[in-house]
Amino acid sequence: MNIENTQAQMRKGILEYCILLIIAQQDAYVQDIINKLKASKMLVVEGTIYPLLTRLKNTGLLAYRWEESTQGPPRKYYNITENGRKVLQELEASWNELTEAISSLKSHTNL
Amino acid sequence: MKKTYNINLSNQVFCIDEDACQQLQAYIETLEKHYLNEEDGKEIMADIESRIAELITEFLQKNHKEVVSQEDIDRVIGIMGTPDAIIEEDSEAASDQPGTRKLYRDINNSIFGGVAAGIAAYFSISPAWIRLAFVIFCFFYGVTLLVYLVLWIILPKAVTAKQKLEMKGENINVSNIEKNIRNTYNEVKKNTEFQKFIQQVKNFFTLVFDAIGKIFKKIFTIFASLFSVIGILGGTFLFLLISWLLFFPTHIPWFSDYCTLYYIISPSTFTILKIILLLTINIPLLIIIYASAHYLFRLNWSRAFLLIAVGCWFLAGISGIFIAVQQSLNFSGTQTSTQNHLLVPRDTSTHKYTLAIQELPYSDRFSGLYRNSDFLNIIALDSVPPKQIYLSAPIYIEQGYTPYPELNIRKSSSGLQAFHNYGNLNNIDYEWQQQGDTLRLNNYFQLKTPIWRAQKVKLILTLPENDTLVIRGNLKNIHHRFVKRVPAAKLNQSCTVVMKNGSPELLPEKR
Repeated sequence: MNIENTQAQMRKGILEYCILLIIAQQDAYVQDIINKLKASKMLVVEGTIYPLLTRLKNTGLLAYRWEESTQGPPRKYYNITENGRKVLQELEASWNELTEAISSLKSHTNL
Repeated sequence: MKKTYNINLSNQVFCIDEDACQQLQAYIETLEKHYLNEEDGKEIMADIESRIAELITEFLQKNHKEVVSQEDIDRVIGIMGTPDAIIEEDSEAASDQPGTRKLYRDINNSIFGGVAAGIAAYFSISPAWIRLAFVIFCFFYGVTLLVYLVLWIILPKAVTAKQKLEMKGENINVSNIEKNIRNTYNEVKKNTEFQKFIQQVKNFFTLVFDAIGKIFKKIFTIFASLFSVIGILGGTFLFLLISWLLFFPTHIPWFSDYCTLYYIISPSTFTILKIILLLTINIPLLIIIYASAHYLFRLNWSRAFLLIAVGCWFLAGISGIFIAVQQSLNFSGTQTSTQNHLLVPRDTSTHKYTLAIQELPYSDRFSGLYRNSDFLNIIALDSVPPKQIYLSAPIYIEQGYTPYPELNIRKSSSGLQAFHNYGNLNNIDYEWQQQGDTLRLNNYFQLKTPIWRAQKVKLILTLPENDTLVIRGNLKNIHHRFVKRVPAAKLNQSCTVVMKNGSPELLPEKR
């Protein structure tokens, strides 16, 4: 079993959830999102995030606006849509289920 | 000293080293190859490029540099992730696509234009073999010389790292691109004096052939544009002309013979045939017009249009063949009948008879007749489509061996071979009369129902030797040599012939 591959799969599975979480808190510029994800070690390479954001935008979970920047060209600021919030709630529910399942499994094995 | 390039990344200008530029180009091209197939791939690439620009700006500011180096690009790729990493993280089934091979000119290993080296790279063999083959075959009428020049002109140079990898059929991933760039760099370093000389010769030829290639491309473009203009204008003109000819044929005098098709086949079949003809001729024209417009105005090819057009064309063709076979069956067989009438006159001593030829009276009863050409032996009909069809009945005068003249009426008609269908013969309505020693013959016959099946009526009048025949009516209806000796002005007058030595002879007029 390839442990690295499994870890990558796990990360990949919840990356979208993490992005929605970050943007739901506050409208964000791509670099903010990347920094937060990197800080929580959710992101290994930056390149992955761009296709992901575009896809989330295409499915109507995210929207963006252009904002002028003091250092350089205008930046894309992402914000969450109504639809995005609904999906986020659903994801949150399944996340809670997952963590409960894991913690109950852990408590059983500890016994 | 290093060469640098100016590049535009997300609308910002950067000064970049040659090697770094190649690496960055390969990196972006690899990602593009993957993402441009996707919806919004352009947006993804724009985002990535803008981030690369941002990172590079940051590095330049931090290190107080002006030129982007290979190190910077390495760091950018480190942060953004290699194409392998990005694509694998991003997609479920990220697998290495097998490298596609393409034929390029390998300018790094070339003697002249790099054609042999390119072919060698394509087949993964040593260029020496290909060069040897070129030289050997050059002795046979110098074929390869021409082939080489043509390939030099048409094959593109492998310039970018991506093209170089495609030439060797290797996978385009970053490690391969890096390896490739390193190899090129090492090869450039070990250039000797001799190679430099070859390089100069090469540069000269490259210049010449690139120029020839450009000229050919220009000429091709000019011709292609010219043909497109001709295609659009000529195609549209022919399209309209053919549609007009098919549906309003009587407007054009020389095309009205085409109306004769009405009598051969039924009017409804004729209409179907018109539509079939319209489709079979006009669909290729339409495709020519479309292709020309596509070339001239850069219109998008519509696959649906082409499929429908080609489909309709084939359908029309098949129906056309079906109708043609069906209709030609109506002419597959021939039926004939012959009737003999011995003309015994009241006065048998004179040996003098009269032949009165009655022509189709255009003027009175049939004033509305439509005069037709001789193409189908039809002389007249009353309307289009016709209710009445009149065909000409030629009259022949021959020597007879009976004591009296004899009239021989030969009727023939085409029809289905499979059945002895004499309906088409019965359709012939021919009238003639004998009054004493006068024979009245119509120079025409009528079809009872207007269905043309190549019906023919041939009248043979046999005249015994030394008998006299007075002919009244237009001599043009008589098929015999002596008619040629009658002056054109007198063709409409009566004349007298005597059967002499088996041939009718013209008697001089009595004053």
